[in-house]
Parts: sequence; structure tokens; C-alpha cells
Amino acid sequence: MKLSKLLFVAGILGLLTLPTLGADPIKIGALFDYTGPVAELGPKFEAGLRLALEEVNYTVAGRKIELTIYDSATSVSVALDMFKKLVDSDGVKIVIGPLMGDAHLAIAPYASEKKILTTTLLNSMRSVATRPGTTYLLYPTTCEAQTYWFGQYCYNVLGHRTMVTIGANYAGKIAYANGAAQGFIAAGGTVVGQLWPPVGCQDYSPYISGLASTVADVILYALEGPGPCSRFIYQAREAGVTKPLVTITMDGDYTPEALAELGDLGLGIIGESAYTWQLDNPENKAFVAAIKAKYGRVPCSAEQNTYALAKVILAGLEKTGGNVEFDDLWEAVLSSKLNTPAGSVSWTSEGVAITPAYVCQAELVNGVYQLSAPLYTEPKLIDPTLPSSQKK
Amino acid sequence: MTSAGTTGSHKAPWIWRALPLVLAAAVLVAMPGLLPTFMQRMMSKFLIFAIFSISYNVVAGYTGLISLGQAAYFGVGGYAAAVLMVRYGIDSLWVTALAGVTLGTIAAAAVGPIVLRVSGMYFLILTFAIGRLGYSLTWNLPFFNVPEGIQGIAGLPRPNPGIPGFQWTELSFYFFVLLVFALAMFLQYRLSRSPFGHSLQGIREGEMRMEALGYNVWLHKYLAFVIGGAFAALAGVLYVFMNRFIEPADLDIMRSFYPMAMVIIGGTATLWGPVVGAAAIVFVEYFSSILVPQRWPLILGSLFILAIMFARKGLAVYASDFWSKAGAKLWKR
Amino acid sequence: MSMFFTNLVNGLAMGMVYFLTAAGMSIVMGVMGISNLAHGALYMVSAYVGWQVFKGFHGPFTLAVILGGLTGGLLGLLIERIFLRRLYKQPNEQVLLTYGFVYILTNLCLWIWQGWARMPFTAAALKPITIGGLRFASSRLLLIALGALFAVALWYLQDRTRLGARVRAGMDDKEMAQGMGVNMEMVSMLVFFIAAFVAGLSGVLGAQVMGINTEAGSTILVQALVVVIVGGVGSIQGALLGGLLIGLIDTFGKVLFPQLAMFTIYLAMVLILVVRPRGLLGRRG
Repeated sequence: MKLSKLLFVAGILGLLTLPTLGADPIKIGALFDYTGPVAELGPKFEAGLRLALEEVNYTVAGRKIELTIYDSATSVSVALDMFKKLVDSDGVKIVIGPLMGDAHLAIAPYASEKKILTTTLLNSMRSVATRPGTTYLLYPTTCEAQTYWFGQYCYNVLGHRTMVTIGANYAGKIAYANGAAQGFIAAGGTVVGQLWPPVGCQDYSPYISGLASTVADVILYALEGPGPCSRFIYQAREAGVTKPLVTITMDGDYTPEALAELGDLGLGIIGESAYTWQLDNPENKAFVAAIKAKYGRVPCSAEQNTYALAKVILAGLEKTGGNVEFDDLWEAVLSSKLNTPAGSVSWTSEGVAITPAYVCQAELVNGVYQLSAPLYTEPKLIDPTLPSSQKK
Repeated sequence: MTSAGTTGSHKAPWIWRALPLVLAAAVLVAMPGLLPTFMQRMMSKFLIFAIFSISYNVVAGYTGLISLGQAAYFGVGGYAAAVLMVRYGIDSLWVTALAGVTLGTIAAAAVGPIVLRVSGMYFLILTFAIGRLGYSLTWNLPFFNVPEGIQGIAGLPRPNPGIPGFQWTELSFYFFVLLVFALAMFLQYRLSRSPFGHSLQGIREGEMRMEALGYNVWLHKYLAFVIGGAFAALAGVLYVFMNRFIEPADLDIMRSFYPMAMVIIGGTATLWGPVVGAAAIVFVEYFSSILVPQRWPLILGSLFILAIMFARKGLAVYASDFWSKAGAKLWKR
Repeated sequence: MSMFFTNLVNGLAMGMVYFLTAAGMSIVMGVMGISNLAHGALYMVSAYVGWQVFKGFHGPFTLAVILGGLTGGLLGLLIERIFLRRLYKQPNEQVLLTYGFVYILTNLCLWIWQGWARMPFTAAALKPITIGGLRFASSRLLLIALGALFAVALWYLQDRTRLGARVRAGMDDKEMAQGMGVNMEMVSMLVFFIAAFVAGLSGVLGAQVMGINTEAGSTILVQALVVVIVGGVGSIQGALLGGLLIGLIDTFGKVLFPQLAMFTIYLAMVLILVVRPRGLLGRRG
């Protein structure tokens, strides 16, 4: 029994690792969350990636592309395990994902060791890019740079003078919240308080009880995904908090589904976004039409980010003639400049993307709750603390 | 292989009875060399979880203490080794392993008096509570989070065995784990056949009777709990060596649940149950998550339910029964 | 001072959700000796069903609550009749089996309702109620009232009815109760159904404060286990005391010691069980 089981396992292994016949395909791996707290985003990330690859018929520089996707289960352990599997067993040289910022801190050493070009899906901490031997593409930028300018915007354009921040208590959201706070202070504002509820917090009311009587003009929240953000908005409004709310990564948290659930509660909240489906550029028009045709919904940043990242990587592969060796590909990608649905993208020498950013809000049009066209556009986000920015 | 075999009057010769053991050993030694590196790592993972399951088998299988917190000692062992590496720059395999196992054992020894004040359902939820406490501690204390910004300890070096010029490969690491596994199996064998092991099983079957016979039941349970903690810590140390990463979830209920499922599916209180169960779960989880990334929990969940409803004695027991019966038939003539 | 009253209401409301979820779990553990780790998953499935009735089919809220409760109750009864019935006195197997259902039900909810989080769906509750110059969330006040009502009803069922007497008798000595002609099989079925039904109710009610997501089952399971540890196995009073205590400790912990937010209830739990290993109102067992 035991032997036959082992033989069976060995047989399956043999089949799975059988080398594919014919010309060597280019192998691209991806890690998305299909289970766990942000399981809703996995299929969206996959949709964007597949769309980009379908557009080139899974072929680049005359070679077929072979895509392998695994579930990272919203777990750092699983993400690390599956990353190793992609690299060691599937022979992948390029990995897109996973989503969790802290998973990248665990993966980065291994990615450097094996020289694997790896991308984030939605920002990550600056330290991932600045560690020696980095092989990471940070997209759309670092957490800190993503929100710094928005803090300034809150002071200069929205006219707020005092702010209180509430951010989920882990590195990624702390970086977002602090980035915005520093921008707000730099513009002349005062941050009167910072609250850090734990990840997975089901009831924000104890924190909200402090916000109800806050002297701050504005409350900035940075919580760990669409669910927690919506929960916070509901609980705050329910408790009678009427102060204006602003947020970051609005495009990621205000998915069409989350907006529909929030209804009127989502209206009036202004947020920083790396993308909105209403951007007026030819790439985006085609992209939105393709997603609508295929899935019957408008895209959010999840679809856009993997789509744009795939475009960047495809452009790099085209340039290297299909060569996937890290040094060549890295060079080709970093020197690329592309127009994506979210706007232009180029790269710093650390592999941090330089992209535009937008300010959006939720709106109700013909009975549908949706993300608005940009109220404001910040043409180029560059993290000012990166070594490459300091040299200039 | 197990005591559950019903052989009848016709007993197969010893060579027949030893054959599965020999074959298993041959497969464990010879097969990994033929596998791709990632599968070699999966084989290591399987053996590490087999050791972790031995821990549960000692505590719950032989002694009958149903624990929902075995991962606490797995985690203490793992974190101890990881902390030595990143905080104190000690990467010696021997020092970190010894420290990990020692601290895990001490943790079990310290927790034992608290949880053993109760039994049954209360023991179950108390052991869960201790694991949960460890989870929230390691999540919150910056000391246990390296590099800054992550919950857990990442980017760990390979343990240094102190042999000049030695370089780890997945295969050499596998053989190291196999060696430790063999030792753990031997210890489990000796334990289960020793008078102490028999007393533990006696306690499981009837605590009052053993008490009446003059056994110090509490001390027996306590020692079993501590020994279980030591096995769990050993598995935790090896897990950190393999994964080069550990996180708070490694102390929590989900992690505790693995050895429990493995032992029950393989065969409770049997020598080979933990091994067969570990193989079943590690590989079913692995293949199902790859083949159906969105639906693998359905497969794993169904496996648990089917195993409970239709193979409650455990796969190892059925396998061994089948083998003995086949042997008895073959030698009937 | 206003902060105190606001958070008192916040903590009590959460405490009532914990109580309603833990009550059934505690009784099933105490009376039937069953550890049902799928209890939290029943809470979650019922919450989704309630959402479906209210938002999907535009049914009234009461119907959403009742159908949510029935879903939990029937699903629980199904698990008990088909599976758990064969596993009496086998805690190991019970845990593994019910955890298998956690995997399955969680993934099925993800499949049916997708991963996006659902908001509390009682729009009427949005207008805060003002009492003595203080504003309170109306859904929380309602939750406290309903929780108190169910506490009285469950206590009455436990201490003042024939079913309750049989349950208590069965808990003390199953064989003797059977010898006296009590149909323990029937009592077990009823108890299991009621426990799962109340978990289902609390799912729909809890969703009015916390919303629903696919992690809700695992989250509430852990909270319910903590409540059972603190309150003690096998009594409505224990679950109520434990639930309210954990709700208040969690809430005031977040206010007073925000750095320890993740931590306070486990610390409190360990302290309580060092002093009273069977919980505050636990029976021997």
C-alpha cells in the first residue's frame, strides 16, 4: 500500500515535470491570492495578466509563453513556498506577485539568490528596492511615495489644516499612513493623532469613539483591503462621525463590488489612486472595453496592474529577443518607457516604477456607484529618498 | 507493522512481514535522488511533519490528551533557532538545534502544570489558548520580527554543520532530515514498547484504574506532554532549517491542526500512522493546491471527512491488515 | 465620560454577538461532549444567507434573521445526524471532521458569494440614537436588547423547562437519565439544532455591526473558544458572562492600551484560567 502510494506519487511527479517538447517556451510564474481574506482579488489579478498575454497570443520574440499560476493563500509561508516551487521546479525566471507587502520581504532574499525578476502587485516597502542585489520591480511605486504627495494635496487643495490617521498595524499600511502624514506636515499641516488598529480588526468602534470628538479637520484611513475599509466607513458613519474622510489606494479598495455594497456611504470620500477606469487615454479605452467585453465589469487597479506589468515584461523580452537571463532582462525593462492604461511608466535604477497618480472619489451615475474620473493628476511619482533620486 | 494486524492461525514468515519496512526504507533512501529539487524539499517537508505528528501521537495517540496547541512547541523550537541566527549571529546547526529543542521542551514543561489541571474538553481549549497567546506574542513583539516590517523572521541562513567545505543541497538536507526522522521513529518505537509507554496507554484506556493500581497518573501525563513538546520542537527546528522562514501562524491553531489530522488519518497510536498520515496530507494538499488553486480546500476538507467516516482506524492500519491477510493467504497452502 | 458610555455600548454589543455564538458551542460541549469547530462556519453561512434574503431577494429583515437562523440550525442538524452522531466520545475525530467542514463551508461561501466583503445591510440603523446628549449607533443598541432577550429565553429554556431539566440531567449523568426514560437521542438532536440555530441568528445579527467576509467564520470561532474558556463549559450564564467580559475587555483594551490591541483578550484569558482553570462559571468535567 505504502509502496504503491509512493510509486503513484512518483508517477505524477514524472508527468508534471516532463520537459515540454519543441522550442523552449518562456516561462512566467504568478502568485495570486485565491483563498484567504483577499481571495476576491486573485481572479482580478489573473484577468489582467491573461488579457495582456492573450493580446500577443502568448508569444513574444517568436517564442511561446508558458504561464504558471499558484495560490498564495494570503499567507507569507505559502507565498514563499510556492515562489520556491515556481523557481526550482517549474524553471520560471520571472514571477508576478504576490500581493502582500511583507511576503516580498520574505521572498526578496531568495529572489536575489536565484536572480529571479519579481514584481509586486500593489506597491511595497521602500526597503525591498533598496536592499543590495535587488531583483524587484516595485509597481506603481513605493508605499511611502504613493501617499506623500496626497498628504500635501490634503493641505494645499482640500484646505485641511489638521489630520488624524488610522492605519492597520503592519508595515505596509504604516508606511502608507506615515507617507501621507509626512506630506501633510511638509505642506504645513499638523497631524494631531495616529491610530493603529490590528490587522483583521472586526470592530473599529473603540478607535472611532476617539475620532467622533477629534479636533482634526480630516480623517485619513489606510486599512488592509476593501473589506476592512468598507467596514470602517460604515462603523464611523454609524457612530455619527461626520468629519470628512480621505483615503489612499482608493482604486484598490473601491472595487466595483465594494462600491456597490457601500452605496451612498462611499460618496464624498476623496482618495489617492494609481488608476481609475475613467482615465482618458487610448490604452485605457481599449483596456476597459476588453475587460468589459470579457467579464462584464469595469476594471480596477487589480486588473490594470498585472496588465501593465505584463506589458512592461513583454516589452523587455521583445528587446532582449526572448532572453530571460536576469541581467539582460533587468536592463531592458528598466530602460523601457511605456504607455499603459494607468498612464506612462518608466523605471528608476532601483527598479521602482515612475508612474502618475490621481485623486478620485466615488460617484453615482445612472444608478451605478463607480470611481470618478481624476479630480487631479500628479504627473510623476518618484520616491525622493531613493539613492537614484538623491544623486540628481 | 502495527499491533492491529489480525493474522489468524497462518502466520507469514518474518521476511514477508519485514518486507514493507524494507521497501519503505528503500524508497525513502533511493527515490529522492531521482526527484527534481523541489520534490526533494517536499519529501523533507513530509518527514518533518511526520516528526511533528509523532509529537501528537505521543500526547494524544498513546496518552489520550487531545491537544489543540501542539504547534506552540513547534513554534518555540523554530523561533528559538531563528532568533539565534538573526539576533545573535549563531548559525551552527548543532547549537541552534539543541537550543530549539531545549527551549521547546522547557516551554512544554512550563505549560504542562497549567493545562494538566484540567482534562477532556477543557484540556483541548486550554492548549488552544496557549498557542493563541504565543501567536499574538510573536506577532506583536518587534524582537520576533526580522527584517522590520514583516511578521515573522525571514531570510535565514542555512544552518552550518561545522564541516569545512560543506555545502547544503536539497538532497543532502533531505538525508539529514531522514536521519533525524529515523531517530525519532526509533524513539517512538522504544517509547511505545516500554513499560512507561504501556502505562500511558493504560491511562488513555482508564485513568481511574491506573490510579487505583498505584500509578502516578499526573506525572505520566506530564512526562508524555513534555516528551511530545520535545518532538514538536525538533520538527519546528527542522522546519526553520528547511523553510528559512517562520511566522506567528506557525504557533497557531491551523498549524496545530496538521499533526492532529495526520495522526488520525494515518492511524492513532500506531507506529507508522503519523508517517502515512503526513505523507497523505502533505502531498494531497500540495497537488490539489497546484491543480485547483481556487478549490483545494474542498478537496482537503473532503479528505478529512472521508477519512473519518470510512477509514477511521487509519490508513496505516488498513495497509498493515491487508498485508498480513495477504501473507496469511499466501502461506495457507 | 461620554467616551466611557460610548465604548460601554460598543463593548456590550460585541459581547452579545460573542455570547450568542459561544452559548450554543458551550452547551453542545457540555451536554453532548462534542467539540464542533464548524460552529463559526455556521455563523458565516447564515450571515450570507441573511444577506441574500435581504439584499438579493429584497425580503424583510426579520425574514432574513429567521432564515439565517434556520440555515444554521438545519446545517448543524445535518452534520450532527449524518456525521457527528457516529463520533460520540471521540473528541479527536470530532475535531478533525468539523474542521473539514470549516474548509469546505469557507470555500463554498467563497465560491457562491465571491470574496468581496458584505456591509451591514440594515440601512435604517444608520441614524444614531441620542440619549442624554450622547450619540449611540442604533444597531448596537438593538443588538444589546436582542442579546438580552435571547439570554433570558435561553436561560428560561435551560432552567425552567422540561427540555432544560433533561439537558441538565443528561449532563450530570447520561446513563442515569436514559435509565429514567429520557430519550437522550432526541434531547441531543434538539440541543444541537437550537445551538446551531442561535449561531445562525448571531451570524445575521453580528453582520449588522461587522459585515460579512469569508474569514468571519474562523474569526468568530476563535472568539467563541476564548469566551467558552473564560465563561466555562456548559452553561448559558457562563457564555453570557464570558461573552460580555471579552467584548468589554477587547473594546476598552483598544481604547486604553492600543499597543496591546491584539493581545489583551488572550492575556485576560490566560490570567483567568490560571486562577480558574474551568472558567468563571465552569462545571466539573
